[in-house]
Amino acid sequence: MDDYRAPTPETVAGAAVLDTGAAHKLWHIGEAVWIDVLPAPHRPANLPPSALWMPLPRHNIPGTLWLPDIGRGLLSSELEGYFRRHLEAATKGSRDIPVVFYCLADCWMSWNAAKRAASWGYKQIYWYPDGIDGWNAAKLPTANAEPAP
Amino acid sequence: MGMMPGMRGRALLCLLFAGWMLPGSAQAERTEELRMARWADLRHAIFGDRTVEDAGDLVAIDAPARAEDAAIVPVAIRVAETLAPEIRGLYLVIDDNPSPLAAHFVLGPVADSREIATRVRIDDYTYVHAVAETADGRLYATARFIKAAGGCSAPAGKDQALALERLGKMKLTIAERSRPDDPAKVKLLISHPNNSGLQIDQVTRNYIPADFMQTLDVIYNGQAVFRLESDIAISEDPSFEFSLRPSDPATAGVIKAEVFDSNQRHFSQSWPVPAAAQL
Repeated sequence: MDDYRAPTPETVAGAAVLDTGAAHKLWHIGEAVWIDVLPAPHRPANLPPSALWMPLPRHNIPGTLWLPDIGRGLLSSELEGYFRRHLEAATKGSRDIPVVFYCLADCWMSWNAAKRAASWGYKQIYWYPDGIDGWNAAKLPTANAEPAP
Repeated sequence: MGMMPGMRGRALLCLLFAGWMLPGSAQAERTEELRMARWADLRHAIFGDRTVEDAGDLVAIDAPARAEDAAIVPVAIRVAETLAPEIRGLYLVIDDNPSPLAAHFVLGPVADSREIATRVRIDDYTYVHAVAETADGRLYATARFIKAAGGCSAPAGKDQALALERLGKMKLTIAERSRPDDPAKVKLLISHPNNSGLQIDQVTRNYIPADFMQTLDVIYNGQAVFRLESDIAISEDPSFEFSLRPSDPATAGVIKAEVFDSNQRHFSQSWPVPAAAQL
C-alpha cells in the first residue's frame, strides 16, 4: 500500500475530478455508482478457525461498492474480472451511468481505477482524489463497509 | 470492564509524545477513544470476562517508538523480578493488526520469565499490549505505542528460491554465563518465510499465500522451556531471545526446538548445552 501513497496528478484522462463539495453534491443526487478501491486484508485460508481475525472496520461513503485492490498498477486476470463484473452489474450494463472512484488522499489507487474504467469505454467517470480523508475532514456521514464478494 | 485510570494516563502520554496526527498513516482518524475501544474489544475476545489489571511497573515492552522496518520490529516483554516467578503465560497483542494476537507464550518450569523477545510485523501505527498471566490466572497488561506501517504487506526481504532451500533450518546460540547459577541466554533463529498472506507477488500480482509457523516448542532435557502459538504477525525468519534456568546447571543438557507450520510441515533440531562451568 505504501507504494501507492504519494502526491497524485491533478487530473486523470477520461475522468472529471471532484473536490469534497462536488462529491457531496453528487452523492446527494444519488444517481452515481460509488466505488472504494482501498485494499482489504483477507483471512488466510490456513489460519486455524480459533485464531483471532479482526481487521479494523472500514468506514466509507454510504452506499459505496467496496472493490479492494482494483487500483493496483497491474491487475491479475482474476482481479480484473472482479472489477469488470462488478462495474457492469452496478451500472446495469450502461456505459453512461456516472461512476465515482475514491480511496484515500494522496493515493494512486483511485487514479489507476478511474483511468482503467475510462479505458473500458465508461463515459461518465469521476475521480475523487481526497477520498475518505477529505470526506471525514468535512465531517460527512460514513457507514461501515464490507468488501464485495 | 472499565479502563484503569493509570493505563489511560500512560496511554495519553504515549499519544502526546507520538504526535499521531502525522501524514503517511492511513490511521490519521484513529482517535484515542477508538483505540481504547479497540483494546476493550480485544481484551474481551482474548480474555473473555477475566479481569485485566494495569501492570504498572511489573511488565514492560521494549520496542522502538518508531520502527525502521515495519516488517521486522524487535519487541521484548520484560517482567519484574517480583512477579516473574509467578508467570506462566505471556501474550503479545498488536492492537491494529488484522490478526492482533501476535504471540502467546506458555512458559514451562525451565523458562526465565523475566524477558522474552521476538520480531513482529506491524500493519499500522498502533498500541502494542503485553499481558502476563500468573499460574492462578491473574492478568497484568502494559501498553506501548509504536509507529510503523505496512509490515503485513511488505515484500519478502530474502530471495524466495533460496529461502525455500533452507526452510526449517534453525540456528541456536547460547551466551556464556558469568556465574554458574545465572540463567543461560539463548538466541534461536528459524528459516521460514512466515508469509502473512497479505503480501503481493511482484511478478504474478497475486497475493502470496499465507505460510507461517503455528507452534514452536522449546524443550530442555525433556522439560518445557516454552510453547509459542503464533501466526502471521511474526516476522520472516522468526527469531527469539529468551533465557533458561536449568534445575541443575552443573550438568550438561540438550535443548530442542520443534516447529509446526500452517502447511503441515514439521521441523525439529537439537543442540548441546554445556554445563555452566564449561562455558
